[in-house]
Amino acid sequence: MEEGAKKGTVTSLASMFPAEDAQKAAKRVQETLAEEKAELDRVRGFISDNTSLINLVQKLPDELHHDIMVPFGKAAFFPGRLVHTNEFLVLLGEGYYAERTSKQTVEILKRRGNILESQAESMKAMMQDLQAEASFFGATASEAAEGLVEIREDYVEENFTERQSPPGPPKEDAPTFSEADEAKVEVEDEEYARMMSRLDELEKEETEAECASKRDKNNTKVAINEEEYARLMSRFAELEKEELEAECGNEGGEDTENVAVIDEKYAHMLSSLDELEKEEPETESSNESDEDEKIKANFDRLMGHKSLNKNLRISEEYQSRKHLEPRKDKKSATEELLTKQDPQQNLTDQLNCTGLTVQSAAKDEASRTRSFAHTLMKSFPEKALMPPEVRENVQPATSSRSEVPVQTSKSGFDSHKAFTGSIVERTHNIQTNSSQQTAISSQAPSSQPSKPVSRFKMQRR
Amino acid sequence: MDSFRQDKVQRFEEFVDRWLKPDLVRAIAESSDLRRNIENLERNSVASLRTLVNLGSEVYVQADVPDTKHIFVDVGLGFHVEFTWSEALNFISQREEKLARFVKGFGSYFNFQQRDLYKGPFSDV
Repeated sequence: MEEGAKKGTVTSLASMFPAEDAQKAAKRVQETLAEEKAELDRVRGFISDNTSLINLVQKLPDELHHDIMVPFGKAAFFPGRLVHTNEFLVLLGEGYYAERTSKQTVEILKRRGNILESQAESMKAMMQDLQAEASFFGATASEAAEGLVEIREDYVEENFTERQSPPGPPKEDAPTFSEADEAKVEVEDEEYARMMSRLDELEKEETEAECASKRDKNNTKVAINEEEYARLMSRFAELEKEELEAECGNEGGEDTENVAVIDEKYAHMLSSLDELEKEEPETESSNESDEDEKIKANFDRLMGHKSLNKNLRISEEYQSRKHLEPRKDKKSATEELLTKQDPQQNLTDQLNCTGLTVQSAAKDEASRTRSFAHTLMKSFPEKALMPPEVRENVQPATSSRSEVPVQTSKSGFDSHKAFTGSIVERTHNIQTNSSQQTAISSQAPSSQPSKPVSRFKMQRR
Repeated sequence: MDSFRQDKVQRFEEFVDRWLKPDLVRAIAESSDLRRNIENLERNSVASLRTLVNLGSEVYVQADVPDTKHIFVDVGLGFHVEFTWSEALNFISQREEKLARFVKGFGSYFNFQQRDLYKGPFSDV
């Protein structure tokens, strides 16, 4: 009984069709039915008149004349007789009369009779309909008066488990199974919801950041440019130092190569400086669109990329305080997120570690380190987690990635160049990141590899 | 009780409006028509008449009236009385007088109706 109340609805027929209304309707139908019946009777009268007239017309010519009372007006008669009994004046309609003989008149009258018959037939059919209607209304009225109820229950195909579970209690197997399923589904749904909310959050933060940056754009642009100039200059100094070291370290054939490479880098840097100035205004918009694309394109990667992007941006604009917050959120968000999170954290750790290791290695092979940095920039957790030994292998792999078209194209002519162009800015960001987050000593700044994704790259994409 | 009387009055009014009045109008028209026709016959001193008789359904047959001196007039309840023209005219005038009385009666009835209409709302007699 309770289930019925939950699932279906019970409406008494009287509530939908009150007995009085039904009776009224029945009465009305009966009235129209009576009218129709009167009309039918009238038509029937016409028909009988017609047939009798036909008989009369057929009989009239039998005699030469008939003695009749000739009507004079409506209330008076003259005694008289019919003459010319085979001549009839028949109304054709619209005031036109035709003189016809008895036989011709009979034909006309018969045609009229057929029309009347068909009319009567249609009226009969209509009356039958009305009769049915009246009986229906009558039945409804009586049923409503009796207190008939209508029970309605929607048929639901899905939620099979839900359905099963209520009757389940007596049985042991069904409920456990279904409950487990349900729980699973629930968890998954929850996870999904959380992820979506997280996504929304991220997007909101991004837009906020963008807005903020736009607001301050005029003010900050100059500052940023200056900052970047400073960074570039420091980088120059670094490179020069490296050059010197390289020269000191190995004076073999490699030396010249290195010099050439470094020269190239210089040129590239200069060009990138120009580019920077040029592209700075466009940065915001392009960044936005790129990120949007990415979000849509790959959900999974999104988590990694976004967090990295955000790290970058936030570190630039809000410093690590905000950066830490989202992390916490993520941890609490979902199991899946957590699993993803772990690699990421590992990544940062790794980056720090590699930063340290790289530092030592950098002096040996600056170019290699940079290439490693390049790979790290693309930083997918898995790749970042790869042991240092694999670095060299990683480089080609990164170049072959299709999601970073600009990078691939760059690596096409020279992978070193490619990374150098993009690297510059990163160093700084990562420095702040790593230093603030992990409290690693100021040595970290020199670790270029820890830059996640370069702004320039984003731009170019 | 009041509603019952009201209902009765209602039905009576309906009967008067739907049957008596049209009947009266028709009767007046008939009598006046008949009088005009007879006067026409007298004026033209028609001895014999040839006319068309409606058999029904607008089918007409010629009828011949050899003697128009005697006319049978409907006096009500399906009785027809044989009159001469002068007798017929006399009868018709008497009937018209009677019909006029009816009209007068209806007039008073209408007055009553109107009086009711005006006084009804204010006096619950």
